[in-house]
Formats: sequence, C-alpha cells, structure tokens
Amino acid sequence: MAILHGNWVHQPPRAGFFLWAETWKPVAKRRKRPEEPVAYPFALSTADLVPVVAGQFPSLPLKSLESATETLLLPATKSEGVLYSASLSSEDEPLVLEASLVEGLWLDAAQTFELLLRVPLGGADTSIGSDLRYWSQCARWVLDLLVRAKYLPGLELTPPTARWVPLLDSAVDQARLKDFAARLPGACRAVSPTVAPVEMLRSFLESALDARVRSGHESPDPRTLPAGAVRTWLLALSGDPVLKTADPELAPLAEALSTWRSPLNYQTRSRTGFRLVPPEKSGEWMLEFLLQSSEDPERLMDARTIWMTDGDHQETFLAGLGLASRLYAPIERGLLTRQPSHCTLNTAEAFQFLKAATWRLRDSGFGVLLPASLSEMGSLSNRLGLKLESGAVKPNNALGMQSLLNFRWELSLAGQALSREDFERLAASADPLVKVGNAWVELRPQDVRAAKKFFETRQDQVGLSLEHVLRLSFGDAQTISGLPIVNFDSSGPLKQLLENLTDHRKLTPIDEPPGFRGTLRPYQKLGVGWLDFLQQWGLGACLADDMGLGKTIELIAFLLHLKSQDRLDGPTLLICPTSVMGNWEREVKKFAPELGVHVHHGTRRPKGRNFVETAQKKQIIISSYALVQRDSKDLKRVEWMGMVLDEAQNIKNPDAKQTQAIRELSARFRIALTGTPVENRLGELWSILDYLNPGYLGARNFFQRRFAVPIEKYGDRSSLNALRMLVQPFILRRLKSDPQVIQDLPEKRESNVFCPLTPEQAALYERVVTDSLARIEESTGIQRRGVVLATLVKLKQICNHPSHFLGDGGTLPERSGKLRRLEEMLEEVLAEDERALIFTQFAEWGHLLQAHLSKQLGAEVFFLYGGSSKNQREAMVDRFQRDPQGPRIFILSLKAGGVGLNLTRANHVFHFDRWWNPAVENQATDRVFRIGQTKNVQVFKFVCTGTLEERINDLIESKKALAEQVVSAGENWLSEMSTDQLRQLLVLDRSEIVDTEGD
Amino acid sequence: MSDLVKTGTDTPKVFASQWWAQRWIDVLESFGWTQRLARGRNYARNGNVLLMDFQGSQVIARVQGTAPQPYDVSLGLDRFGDEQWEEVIETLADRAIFAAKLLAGEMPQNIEEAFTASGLSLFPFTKWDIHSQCSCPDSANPCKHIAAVYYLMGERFDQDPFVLFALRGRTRAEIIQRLRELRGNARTAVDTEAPVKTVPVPPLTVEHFWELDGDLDPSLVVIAPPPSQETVIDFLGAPPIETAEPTVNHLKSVYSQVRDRAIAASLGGE
Repeated sequence: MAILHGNWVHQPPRAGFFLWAETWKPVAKRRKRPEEPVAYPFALSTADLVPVVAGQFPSLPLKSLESATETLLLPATKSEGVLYSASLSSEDEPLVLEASLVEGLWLDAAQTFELLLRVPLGGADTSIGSDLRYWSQCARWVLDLLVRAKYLPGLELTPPTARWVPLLDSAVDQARLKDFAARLPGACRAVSPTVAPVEMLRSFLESALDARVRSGHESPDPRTLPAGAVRTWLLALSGDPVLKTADPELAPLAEALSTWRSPLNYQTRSRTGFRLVPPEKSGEWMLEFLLQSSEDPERLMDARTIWMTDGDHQETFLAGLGLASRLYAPIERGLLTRQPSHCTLNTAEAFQFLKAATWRLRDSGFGVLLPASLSEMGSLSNRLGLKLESGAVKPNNALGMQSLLNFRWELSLAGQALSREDFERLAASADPLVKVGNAWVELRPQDVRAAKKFFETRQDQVGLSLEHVLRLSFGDAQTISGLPIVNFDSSGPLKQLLENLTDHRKLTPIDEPPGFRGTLRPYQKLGVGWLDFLQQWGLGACLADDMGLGKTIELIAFLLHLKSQDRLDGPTLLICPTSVMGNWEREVKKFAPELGVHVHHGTRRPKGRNFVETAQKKQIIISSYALVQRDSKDLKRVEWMGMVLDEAQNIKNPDAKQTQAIRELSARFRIALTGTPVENRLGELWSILDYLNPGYLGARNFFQRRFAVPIEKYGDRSSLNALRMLVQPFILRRLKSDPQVIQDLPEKRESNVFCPLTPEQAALYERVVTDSLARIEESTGIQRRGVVLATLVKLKQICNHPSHFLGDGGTLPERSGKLRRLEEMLEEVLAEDERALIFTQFAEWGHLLQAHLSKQLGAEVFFLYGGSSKNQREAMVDRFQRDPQGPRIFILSLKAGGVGLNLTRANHVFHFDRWWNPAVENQATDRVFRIGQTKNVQVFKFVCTGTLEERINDLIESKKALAEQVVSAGENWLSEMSTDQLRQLLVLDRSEIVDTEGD
Repeated sequence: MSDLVKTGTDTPKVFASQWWAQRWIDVLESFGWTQRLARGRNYARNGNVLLMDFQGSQVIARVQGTAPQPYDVSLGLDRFGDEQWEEVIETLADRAIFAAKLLAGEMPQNIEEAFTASGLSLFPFTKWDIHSQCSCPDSANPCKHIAAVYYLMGERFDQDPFVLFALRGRTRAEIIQRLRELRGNARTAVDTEAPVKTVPVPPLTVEHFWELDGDLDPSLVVIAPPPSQETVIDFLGAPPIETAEPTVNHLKSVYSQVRDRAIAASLGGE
C-alpha cells in the first residue's frame, strides 16, 4: 500500500497540483552526494503511481496527466537521510528538512478539483496523506463559495485575461481564511517553502474556483451574447481565459467593471456593523450603527465615538452605511441627520430584519449583533414548547420501547413557564416578536396554533413512549403534536434508568450466580449486570465486547442469573452460525450444567408439536441462521422468553429473507452479540439496533439520510456524535486495550475452537475411516504403521478442507467448518485493526489458504514455508513487523515458521490443524508471545467436533500421563494401538455433523 | 426611417442603466426632435464619436459625420461658483445619507434636493442650460453630432456618476474632502488603503510536518444552499455597460448552473 500526497504549486506563472506517492520500503537506492538533492527513496515512480491513483479513484480520468519531477523539502535525519512519512514518530534523532527529488503527476486546476472531490473527507484511510486531505477540505470550501455565489467575473488587461474571482468579504470566509491558513500542514509547503500559507491557500482557491465555474456551466452560444468586447470577455469566462483580441474597447470595459465592483472593495481593518436593540416593553426597535474590528469582532466602536474620532473611521462607517442601505432600505431613514447613529424599526420590520436582512448583511461582509434570545432564531430553547416532568415509573420487562409513560406538562417560552392566561394574552397580540421575562423571542404562528390545540385536547398529563423519552434525553429533538419539548425533568426510577443508560459504570455488577461453574472477571460481572438491567426495562441489548473477552460466558451467566431469580419462565432461542453451535453447547454444559440445552439442527431435528414440547423442557435452544428461515413456522409456535443472536452481523442485510424471518419471531427480551466494531458499520448498526429496539433509529432511509451519508461520506463529526449519543445506551463494547479490562486479563489466553464438519467432509471422513480400518486389519508390522500414519494425514486433511484432501482444485467457500470459523474470526481481528498468524503443518494447504483468504478479505496475505527463499522470508518478516500498511495476516508452515522468527506485531495465533504436541505448538505461539509483545495474546486451537481431533484433544486435556506420552512419542503412539482402539478413536460421531445446506 | 424611430423608442435605456444617467437622457429627450436624436443615437452606437474628452467642466469630442473630416463638438454646463458650491455642500453635510451614498459609489436619489435648496439644478433643466457647439454646417442645435455626444455622456455617467459634478465644477474628491472638513475633520483624506504590512513568511519547519489538525467545519460537511437565490449580481445591479441587460442575464444563468452543479457535487452526485 502506498500513501498518496499532493502539493499545490504556486510559482507564478506556474500553478498546478503535484500528485505523488510514497511506499514504506525504499524504492530507489540512496545516493550520497552532498549539496545535491537526492531522489526521495520512498517515492513511487510515475509508472508505479498511475495504477495506485487509478485504483484509489477509479472514475478519475488519468490519460492526459503529465509526469513531473519536483524538489521537495522533507523531514530527514542526519544519519538516515529523508524518512518515510509514516515512520517519523519513533525517531530519537533530531529532524531536519532536506531537499529531495520526487517523481509524480502534474494536474491543472480543473483536474485537481476532480481529484479532490473524490478524496474521502473523513475516515481513517491511511493511504491518503494529510496534505491531500487538507486540499480536499479546501475544495469543499470552494464548493461552498460556489453554492453561495461568492465570486465575481473579472477582467485583467495585461495580458488580457478573464477570470472568476472568489469573494471572501463575509465574516465567515474571513475567519475561514485565517483558520485554513493556520491549519495548513507543513507538508503542503514542501515544494514552495517560501510562499506563505495564506498566499498558497489564496492561490489554490482562486485557481480551483475559476476552473470549477468554467466547468460548471454550459458554454454559451456566442450568438446569444451581446456583441463587441463584452462578448469576447464573456466567452473567455467560459472557455480559454486568454482574450486573443487587442480590442480597444477592453480598457473601458475593464474600467466599467471596476466601477461596478467598487462597492465590494470596501475591505479595511474595520467594518460597519448593526446592533438590533429591542424596546424596553413595547414600541420601536432600534438598529444601532457601529464599527466592528475585522480582526477582533468583540471590539466595537459606537456612533458617538466615531463622530468624535478622525475621518478614516467616519468614512469607512459612512461608506458601509451607504452600501448596507442597498441591502436593507430602512437604514436610509437613519441617515437623514448630520451624524447618524441609528434608525428605528417597528416590530414587523425588526422581524423582517432578523429573518432576511441579517443573513444578507453578514454574507456581504457587515457585522450584525442580535440579542442573545434572538440570535439563534430556530433554536429550541427560545421556542414555544413543552416542559415535561415525569411521574412514577417502575421497571418492568413488559414495558418495552413503545410503552407510554405519564408526564406532567407545562407550556414554556424562552425558559419561562406560561399559564394558560399568559399564553392567551401573548397569542392575542399578533406580533411575531414578544417579550417574555427579560428576553425577546420569536413566537411562531404554527407553534401558537399547536399550543392552542394542545390546551383544547389535553388534561394535565401527557403520555410519552419510552422510546420518545430516551431519544429526548439523548439529545434528539422531539415534538408532541407539533410542539417542541424544550425541557425535560425525570425523577425516581426513570431518572435512574437514564443515568444507568448513559453511564454504564453506574450499573451494579452481578457475581457468579449459584450453579455457575467458573469465575467471572470484573468486567464480565458488569456485563451481566448490564444485560440484567436492560432486560428489566424490556430494552434490547447489544453486547459487542472484543473477540475473546467472553461474551459467551457473560450470556450464560446472565441466563443462569435469571433462573436463580425465578425470572426465567420460558426457553431462550439462541441463533448463531452453524460453525459455532457446537462451541455454544459445550460452553453451556461446561459453565452452567443446570441449564437444559438443546441443539436444534440436522435432518432428524424435532418438528411441529414435537419441537414445541422439546423447547418447553429446555432453557436454551441453539439453532442456526439458516434454520430460522426454514423452521420459522415451528419457531413461531414457541413462546420465547428471550432471543439471542450470536455473531449478530449476520442480520446486517435487512432485506435478506433470513433477517426478516428472525425479525418476525417475538420474545420478551432480545440480545445481540457481536465482536465487530458495530458502531463503525452504520448499515449493520441500524439493522441490529432496529432488531433489538424496533423503530428507535427511525426508518432505514431516514437513517441513511440523517446519519449514514453525512458520517460515511463526509466524516461529519456532529452527526456521528448525535448517533453515538443515541445508540450508546444499547451497546456495551469493551476493548481488550481498555485499562479496566486489561488488568483483568492474563497476558496469554489459549482456547479451543470447536468446529463442525460439513456433510461433504463427514462423508469423506467416514469413507476413509471405513477403507483404512479394513486395510489396517489386513496388514501388519511396518506396513500397518504406514497405513495408520497415512490415515491420520488423510483425516487431518479432510478436517481442514475437502479440497485439501482431494487435491481437486475445487472452490473453497462453504465446504469446511474450520475455514468458515477462521474467516469469521479473522474478520473480527481485522476489524479491530490487529494482526494474526495462522499455523498449519501442510504446505499445500497453506497455499490454498493464502489464495483463498487474500481473495476473500481483499488484502495481501503472507505465506512462509520450506520453499520460501531466505530473501523472501526476510522481506516478509520485515514488512509484517514494520510496514504500517503491510499485510495483517501471516500463514506459516509449522516446520518452517515455528522457530526463530520474531512476529510480535501479531497478537492472535491460530493453529488450524494440530501436531498434538503442545511443545511444538507453544514454540510456534512464541513467535508472537515474546519480548516486544505489547498486547495480550490470544491462541486459538481448532478442533473438528466428533472426529479424532476432538478425541485426541480430550485425551490430552484430561489425561496428563497420556499427554506426556504423546509429547515424547509424537504421533507414533497411535500406530501402536489395537484396531479396536483405533476404531473408537477414528469413527465419526454422526450427531456432530451440521447440515449447512443453504446456510 | 420609421424603423429607426421604432428602435429608438423600444430601447430607451441603451445608454443608461442607472437612474442618474437615465435622468440625463430624459432631459435631452424632453426637448423633442425625435428624428434627429434617433440619428444621433445611431451615430453613438456605430462608433461615429471618435474621441470624447472631459476637460474640467467641458466635454470636447470629435464626431465623424457624412463629410470626410470629423466635426469638432464641445459641450458644457454652467459651472457653479465657489459660494454656490459651498452652500450645496453644506446642505449635503446636513444629511449623512449623501456622504454615505457618494462614498459607496452611488448617486444619492434625492441629490437634486440639495441643489434646489440653493436655487440650483445639478441636471440641466432646459436646453439653454446646455452649451453646445458643433463645426458641422447644420444650423440646428442640437445637431445629430451633438446628440451622439450627449448619448455617450449618459453612458459615461453610468460608469462614473461624478463626472456630472465635474461638469458643474467640483470633483468627487473635492466634495468628499469638503464634507469631511464640515464634519470637523480638517485633515486631508489619506489613502483609504491600510498601509501594507509586510508579514514575514513563516519558515517551514519539521514540526507537525505531516499532521493535519482539527476537523472540517460542519457547515462545509453539509453544504446548505443559502436562504435566498439572490446573488452578488443582484446586489451590484447592472454593470455600467451598454449591453447590461443581456450580460446580466447571461451571468445569472451561469451562476445558477454553477450553483446547481456545486450542490450536486457537494452531495456526492457528480
């Protein structure tokens, strides 16, 4: 992966954009020639750059781009020379700037704008340099100027040129100019370090705006334009900016245009301002004239002072008044005296000033000061609205999002409570602006109408759904019958509910419930408490802890807790991918043997009444996503206490039949478990939250418009914060790196991952076992040993993947339980921005896996094995450890990669197939778990259920002695077993096969 | 012939887009001689006026007639005396609106009131107020050559309304300076441009070299169209050129196309 950079080059008459890219690994050799700029060793050549740009911006036309070489000043150290941009932070040596030659592409202003529009504004895409991101933000400003029509056509005479010129006269653009100039990253100045940031910025704005206006309209038909010099000028504003004629009329035209523009040339250190002053009680409003400092808008000079000072101020003041009177005619009325200071306005005029003139004046560079209560006309706090106060509410799991809670209400305006009489009096005066207490506020006719209706139809209480209440208290504006809710007070249990929802730390942790076989870590106790709390209020919960933090255990403890409190009066349906059904069953049996569990799958699963009866006898029914759809009729007949979705990202597509079938099932509580950072995947977030708490985030297209587009497309921080506020109560996500969690975790955790065989694997497995046992019986001695060992290899291959065994070159997806689980887990690793090693003892499987994963995950995957050359090995290890954008998944053969290497950047280790030798496996694990490792390490050992893998795994874990024997003898001990013993070890337990058809 | 007359009445504003220039043309046209004026207007439009020079309160021009040699035209108004001007400017000083509008580059609507108060008229009132001469053999005044110059002067007033003051004997600067003195500020006007401070270019350093601080302003994330469709073109009004109307129409069409496309682009719908 490469990082793209861009420099706006301002070296008149040359102006354009230099696009270049660097990669983590030096491309060119460093030449040490003092005095002379050396080639920047990390820069991509133009030939390598083009495909990178094309890949990043597929719709950008690249054909006409020229290549170019520029000299850039870049950070360097004395000893190492110029450094890779992403590696700077860890350097100890002082940095200096060094001139380096960089190859790249040259873009004109129009091409630059096309490019910058395609650069994502937000997000953490590390392949976009901050310099390029900065210019894309500037391009956004240009778009804003175009939308607001803040530009003018201009004409220069030497040489005759027609250009569109940005108008930065308003206060907002002046402030923006300052802000953007201050934020300009040093990297943006690397080509022209002597140009001041603000000049660089202006040059970009001017060129980009001019280019964009030209490309943003149809070229006019010359016949429709006035004749003569004007036509030449107008055509040059649409096409070639250089006027070819030496028309003697150009000079008078330029002069006329400058006269025309002159009202806008009023740009000095201060600007004329207006302060709207409301009357004491009623009567006339006053618009005071004053001067405001452009530098510091807080610095004001009133008219009295202006008339006592010197002429410059007076003339700025007068000129401003003259111009402003064009925009807002009532100002003229105040100019009929010798030394004007204000004009008066009636209420209607004051209202019109607020509604229309304020914006226009500000946009034209004037200052406008308004009373605080009127300065944000639309803001809720100043509107006529409702004040609500909660009555008593008790937690109740039958409550749910849509239950109505009762509130006492009061009408309020600008923070003041209004009695009905007060309101009638205000409503009777037809004034759009009214005084309440000490403040003047706008009284909207539609609010008045809504309030009248409200008085007519309501008693002193109003019902509000819990959903309403939650959204209200999490900052989402709400109205009741058209009236905004301006104030909201809660007390008692509701207050506690809101507090607990906003701050998870205030929850009461729940200790291991009676009958729980294990211990809960402190953060897990809190997780159980959280699930319990939401369940009591009938709210759906999404437990999204990092992979490996024990969501399974938390859920099991929660269900057991419900049981111990006699609150579990029905079965809970747990839906998960087929690949983890076995794992769930094992974990429930291990941690909570009291809970009756039934795995609902396979062709012999109970149906109809049978199923209902089975379900009613158990506490947990485990089934798969695929079956929910197929068995939805049966599933609907059961009255479910709860419903749990494991790997809830499976319902990310709301249109999928599977998702719809799941949403149709009803249960008294709903829980979703997921290890992916659900908050960052908005489609998934909506789908999961809408399943848990239907309607809470609004309809899908509303959600798209309100949140997904602004956040994903434009990186809008305020929309993101608003969304976070809304969803945060229902999502509990702890990371391994959280300080409270990390202290609870051991540095290395090992766990078995039980995976089912697919029917194809099972059929192959059984065939090989039958054939082999027959042949083993027939043979003796060394031949028998050979057959046994060959059988073991074959069965391991089948457990890995049918294709691995058959060598058929067939497709990989959906044919292996292990591979499925691996994909699911890797997705979480990548989503957490972490790295993983995968060990296998089979080089041929490593190759298959590498090809498959890199395609599946759309990313480079390394594979190191006996056939890798020394150089290749070093390069792979080097990139894995050092390249910030290097591959994050590394497959190694156990033999070639199990020793010697240092791969501490990974913190997940997968043993895909097993050597049955803990020492060998530990040694491999130690590639990661060693000095230099800064994170907690997780080790996953894959085991196929019902196969020899599970049986040997059980043996090793249960019988220490045998385990030692295993360790000392490798796999040879197997060949010493009797045929009967072997049969017991090898024969497949059919009940563990999962029918994955259609899953 | 009837064609020309028709053109004349249909496009009365050709030489004047601002009220004060229109007012100037109105005075001329109030005198009658429709046909002669129409011919003069054609002269003006076809570039027969070869030269036009403002020399104090006089306009000197050369107009190409039917003869090979161009005719010399001079045109002037009565200059006001210093005392008359003093009286006018004192009246102007009584109302800040005059100074404000003049400083904003605009001729105040009711400027004439300030002159009438002193028994004067800024604009010519009768044809006797305009002193014109032409070297052509036509004895009528105004002849078509004088009329051509008169029309072009209207265009010139459009660009610079203060030429009218000059014809009466005072420049804009002189008036503004006197107004300033009357406000009690004797100091002569200084260049309104603030002295250019040379801010040294900040040196490029390695600090935060690759870092972009701060978020994009939320109002640039969601770019909202302004509450009004009016643009700076509406604010400035028609440019002081002969073909103001079609020019403004064309510019407005450009602005609206550019605006619509920019909104589309800001929503990602390139």
